[in-house]
Amino acid sequence: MNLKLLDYGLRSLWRRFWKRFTVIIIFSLLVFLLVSVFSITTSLQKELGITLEALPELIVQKMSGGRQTIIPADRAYEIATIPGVSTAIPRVWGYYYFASANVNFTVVGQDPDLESYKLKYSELFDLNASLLDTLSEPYFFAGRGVVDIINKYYFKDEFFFITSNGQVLTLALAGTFTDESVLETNDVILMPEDVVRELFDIYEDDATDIVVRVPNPYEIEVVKQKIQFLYPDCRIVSKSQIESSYQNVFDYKSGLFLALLIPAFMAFFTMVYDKSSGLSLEEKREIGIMKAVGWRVEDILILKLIESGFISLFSFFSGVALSFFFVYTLDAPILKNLFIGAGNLKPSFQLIPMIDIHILSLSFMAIVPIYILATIIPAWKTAIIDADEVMR
Amino acid sequence: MIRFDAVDLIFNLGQVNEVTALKQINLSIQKNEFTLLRGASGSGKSSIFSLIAGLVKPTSGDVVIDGKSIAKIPDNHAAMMRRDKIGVIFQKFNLIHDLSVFDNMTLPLVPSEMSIRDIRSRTEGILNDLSLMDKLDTSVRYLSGGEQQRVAIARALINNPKIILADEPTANLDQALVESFLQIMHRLKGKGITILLASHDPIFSDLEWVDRTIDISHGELL
Repeated sequence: MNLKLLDYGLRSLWRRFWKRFTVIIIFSLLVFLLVSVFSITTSLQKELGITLEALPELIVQKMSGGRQTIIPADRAYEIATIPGVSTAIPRVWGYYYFASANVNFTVVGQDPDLESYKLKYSELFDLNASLLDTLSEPYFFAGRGVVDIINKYYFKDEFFFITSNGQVLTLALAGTFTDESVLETNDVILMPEDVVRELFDIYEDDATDIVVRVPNPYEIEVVKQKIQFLYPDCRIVSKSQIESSYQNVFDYKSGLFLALLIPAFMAFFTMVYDKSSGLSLEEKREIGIMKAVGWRVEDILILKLIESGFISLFSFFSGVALSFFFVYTLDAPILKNLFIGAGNLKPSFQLIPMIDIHILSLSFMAIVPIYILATIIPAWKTAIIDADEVMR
Repeated sequence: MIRFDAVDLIFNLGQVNEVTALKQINLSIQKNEFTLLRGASGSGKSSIFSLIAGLVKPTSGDVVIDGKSIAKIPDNHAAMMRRDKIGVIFQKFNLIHDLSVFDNMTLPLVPSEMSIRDIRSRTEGILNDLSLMDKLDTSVRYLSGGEQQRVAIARALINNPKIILADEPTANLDQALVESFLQIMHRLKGKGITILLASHDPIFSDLEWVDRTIDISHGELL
């Protein structure tokens, strides 16, 4: 590599500074948007994948009038006898509407099925569980989002719930879910099962739904059919159905964002088209002068490669760095909320930092070679024409 | 040093807009000779320069520089020959206006193997000769016409050429600058450089150190 050529190429970038600066800004912005959207979706899918992994294979819900209703808990015993089922556990949970903040909390009865969150009891909370022994009143654990909301309304160590019968139920806040579980637990309140029953007026023999574990994936469909046969009034939701519905939402939103990127791509390709369709008179004159004073065609092409390579690589890495900063340091304000708007409380979790080589390769290929070629081809076309004109 | 053997130069050969720029040119220029090429605009002076510089190839005939035919050499070899042997002073100087004096004059050496140190020392010598040392880092857009011309001369000299081609170098200069230019050319002749100067400025006709004057009209030597 001729260092003088490299030096000349880099210094000549300062000429026509604003033109090149504009190109860098547009390219960086395009890479930033592209990598940000892909990073958020990949990161969220990764996070969601971890969550979905812990879901039970089947959830049995009783339906009445087209809506989910309370299910007799003893159906769990019958379901548990179906070959292939390892466990069938009735769950008690519901949504608690906190009118002051106009939000719903997901209230879950504490039962031995903590496994469904795939986290050990001791890892689940920030507060030491041994403190529970010292609490005299009923307690609850809450997700980070719930705690933030109730703190805004001056509730610190306890919260007054209104039961389905209109009674006030005072519960002590015994702990907060750890940040690691925030995607799943942000809007969750966990409390003893009997307290949930009191809160939602659910009889002891009833449950909200039944979670069914089926270890052998080949038996899931058969077990599902058997439960359906056994309880035709029930809806049986499989893990794969939940996964695909989440996937659909992500695919839809990713597609929406990619559509929003179209104007940015249009700007990029317009610039590329403008560049590839020919050089300015000034640029042509410069190439003519270079040839006239002894530059070979390959020298001119190397110079253009240095210039366009620097611009496109600088833009690419700036865009990627900006995107990583935006997504993983600033936690993707606006963009992330648009992706995770399904919950009543948007979880304020940190996205999992991931460097996806496929995303980077795709963005790289979409920007760098195209711009380099769009610069080099017209320069080559000019350089192979006789530089005789500059003599005239 | 420079020889043209029955050179024809026809542009757009066989097309409707075919133009014959040069017809059967036979020419021989010796080393250290100062040759004045005289003729009206469009007479073919610049075409002769383009042929010597290897920027165009003759339609027929041969152009020989230093005993080597350049009529059919590839473009890259022609470029190397320009870089090694020829310095060109253009009529409109053809400087790159947003580059400094240093960058403009060293432009021919950027792709060469010469070290930065050698380039710098060569630059200083030439700029001192041309009284441009104090303008080294100045952008040429801020220079006067005379200074720009001296930068163009400096660029033509930077590769230590054996041949200098000066195409209408005084066309855009006032009388004082023309005088200054003549002195520089005289000095270069004294250094043993072969100079071919195209001009229809009558001032060159009266110079006693011009070795030879060639008149050209409508692509033919008179």
